[in-house]
Amino acid sequence: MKIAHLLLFVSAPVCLLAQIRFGDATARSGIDFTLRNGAKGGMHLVELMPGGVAAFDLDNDGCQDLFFANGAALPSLEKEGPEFWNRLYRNNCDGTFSDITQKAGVAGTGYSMGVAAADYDGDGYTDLFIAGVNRNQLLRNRGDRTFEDTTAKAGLAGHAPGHRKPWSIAAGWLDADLDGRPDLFVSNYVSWDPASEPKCRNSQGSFYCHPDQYRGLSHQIFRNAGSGKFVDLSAASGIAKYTGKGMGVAFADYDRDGRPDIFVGNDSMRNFLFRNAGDFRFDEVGLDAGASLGEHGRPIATMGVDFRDLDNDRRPDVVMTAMVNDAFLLLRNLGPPAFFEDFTIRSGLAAGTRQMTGWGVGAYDFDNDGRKDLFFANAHFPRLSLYLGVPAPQPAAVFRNTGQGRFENVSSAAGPALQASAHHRGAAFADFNNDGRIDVALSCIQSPARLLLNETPDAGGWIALDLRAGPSRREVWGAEVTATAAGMETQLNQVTTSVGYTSSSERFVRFGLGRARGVRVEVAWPGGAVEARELTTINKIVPWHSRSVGAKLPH
Amino acid sequence: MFFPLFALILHGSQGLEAEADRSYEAEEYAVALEGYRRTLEKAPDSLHALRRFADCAIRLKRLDHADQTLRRAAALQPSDREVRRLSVRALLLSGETGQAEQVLSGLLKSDAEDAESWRLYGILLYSLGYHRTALAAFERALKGKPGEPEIRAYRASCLLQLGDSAAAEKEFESLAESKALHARRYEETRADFEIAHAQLRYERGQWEQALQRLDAAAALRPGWPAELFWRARVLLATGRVSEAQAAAERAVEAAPEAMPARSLLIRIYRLTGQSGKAAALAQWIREREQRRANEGRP
Repeated sequence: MKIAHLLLFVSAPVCLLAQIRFGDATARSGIDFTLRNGAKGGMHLVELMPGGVAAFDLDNDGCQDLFFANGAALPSLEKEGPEFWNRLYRNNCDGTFSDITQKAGVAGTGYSMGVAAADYDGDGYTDLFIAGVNRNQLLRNRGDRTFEDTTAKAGLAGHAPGHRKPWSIAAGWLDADLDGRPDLFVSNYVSWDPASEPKCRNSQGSFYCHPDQYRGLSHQIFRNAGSGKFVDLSAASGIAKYTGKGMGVAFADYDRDGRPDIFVGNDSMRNFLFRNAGDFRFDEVGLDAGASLGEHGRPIATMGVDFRDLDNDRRPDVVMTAMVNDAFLLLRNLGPPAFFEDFTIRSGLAAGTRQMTGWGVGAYDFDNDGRKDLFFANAHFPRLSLYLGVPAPQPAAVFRNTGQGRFENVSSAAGPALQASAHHRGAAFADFNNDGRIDVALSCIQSPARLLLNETPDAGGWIALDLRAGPSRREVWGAEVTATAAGMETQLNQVTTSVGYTSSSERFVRFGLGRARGVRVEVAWPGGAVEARELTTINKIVPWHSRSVGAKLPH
Repeated sequence: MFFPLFALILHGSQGLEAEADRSYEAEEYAVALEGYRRTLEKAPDSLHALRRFADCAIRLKRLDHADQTLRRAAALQPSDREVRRLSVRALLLSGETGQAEQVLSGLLKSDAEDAESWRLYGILLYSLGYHRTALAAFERALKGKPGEPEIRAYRASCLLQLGDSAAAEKEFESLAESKALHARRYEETRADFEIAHAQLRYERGQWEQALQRLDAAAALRPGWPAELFWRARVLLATGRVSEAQAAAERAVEAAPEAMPARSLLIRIYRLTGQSGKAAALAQWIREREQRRANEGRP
């Protein structure tokens, strides 16, 4: 054992009990986006579902920028005015943001829903895929803070010949075939047409129809073939065999076979877990692996999902938001043979979230104590206030991970920003002010988006890894990292931007380190190579360019 | 079913009605129903007999009988509050919650202190999963019907769903100790409350107490799939896997179309190495969900 490694393990115990706090920095940030769903009383189902937020570094200046997906007019489904534009805000690295939507050429078309960020062409600049009701869009980042629409060129218009474009809710990037290029998964919802939409009522008048009223859709997966082209492998991969009502999607290697698997939350039907069988084939094993249903055995209205190790046992778990009375499910991955077990009750989430309706969700270590906490972006459906006894706009919530698989709602002490209600939807997680504490950007229907900066006092130390490989130092997707620090449980995290509901979060792999002064990190690169380092300088983003797998990856 | 012949011979319709009333008070609803039916043959405009006939029919789940009688009663006395409340009960039983809510809205608008209407409104909201407003409705109902055990049990169930398990526990314990819910008229709902109480114990990891509540539910409704499913959950949590498997398999036999017990059985089979059985059950749910997803409008 090297001396540095030894030192990591003889440091003082790192017990930490910081109160997670957020402050609302929206006003001083200059972000003035309002998510417009086009609602005019017609009770169209699409109104409920927008919209996503992406946190990504558009110009590699080291500051996380923000993109907001926006709705459109109804029933035209077109962005009939600037109020419906998608918006891009450049982080000026001084606490303020500038709206560069027009200059960047990202105002978009159609009714947008979700957004997923990745450098799909390996040119060093992060691109955007926007999932929508009547259009999907791939926007290539030219590297000069402008984007070009490459949807058609890439083959991602989103529908098979002769078929109507499916309503896409969310999308995510993963390296499904471990070839170094990010592939694209698109989560589709239901067959919907404003002209033939069913009319539903409750005693208060017109109301949104239940998803059972609509036929579901299969999901899609596109292989990144290089040269900016994608190949639709939805059918050949086995993904399209299953009809779902897709919402959030997230990726992790649940069975530890080295290949990323796909978890898709479905609305009011069982969830899907697509096991990556290699060679771009997927088996749907949600029921076999205990990931499709909670222990009550009934489908829930899953909205957002995150797929990470929540209990520091080095196996990715799943947490998801849902509707009031469902409770937000927490499925712990206990490994073979049964894999996932519902710990919603035992974790404290059942009692803590049963009265919430949640959309965005993120499992991040907000107090940097070495355990991932949970953030939920909440709002009930409109027009239910009379019945629920509470208004539809709701506060977000943060649950602290207290260890032993338990979570405690600490929202009431998390500052005024966590008490403010809104029709919250998408949530993107990133360290927007580079202070080492994870912040949140939230979209809110018909009200201003919110930038909540993490102001947790006495938060622990941290480390973030920027993993790249290959001659062109391209982004690596799905790489897994374990972090071991003195007196702390070993943590597992992975490279992904697909987090929560319709949204995309920063790509770094982060760890909270409590009071530890160093950490041993071990990276399992896609394809199986493993590299380890002792990091004695912490509280920084560590660029890590793979020496061992670089040659295998494409330029 | 026997209805005293002497009542008919000696007292005519009044005697019949009085005898039916005695059966009703004794909670012999089938006998009472027959008594009121005969009463109405003699006195078709007896509002009291019409109400009571409908009440008995609802308790016995003979909704077609109740519906006809309530129409007759409403024609006789359109504003009669009891007839309207009986209509609500019938509507709730048949799942017509929208209509039930409309009638209740009128009743509560004209008398905001109507405890029985608040009780029914609470049940309506509870059935729809609106536990906060249901709790408020039950608390209004208790003002007019202090200590009424069924309302208290509903209130406790609401508290549990709202996350106040301490208050729910206190109420459930008090109800269990007093045996206040043991009257025959509560038999139908008592089993539901025993399950709710079992859920509370389960959520607290109090397995033996949960099983006691489930035993009580099973005594009221032997072979009830919901009880068997909960029993399987509790047994699995305590590590009594083979007993859990038996209970879950009985639940599937009792309700072959229900998913919860099948889902639980998949886990049990996987844990016990019965992968073939697990795969078959998973395939059953997969196909069912696929069919369900393909329904609805294209």
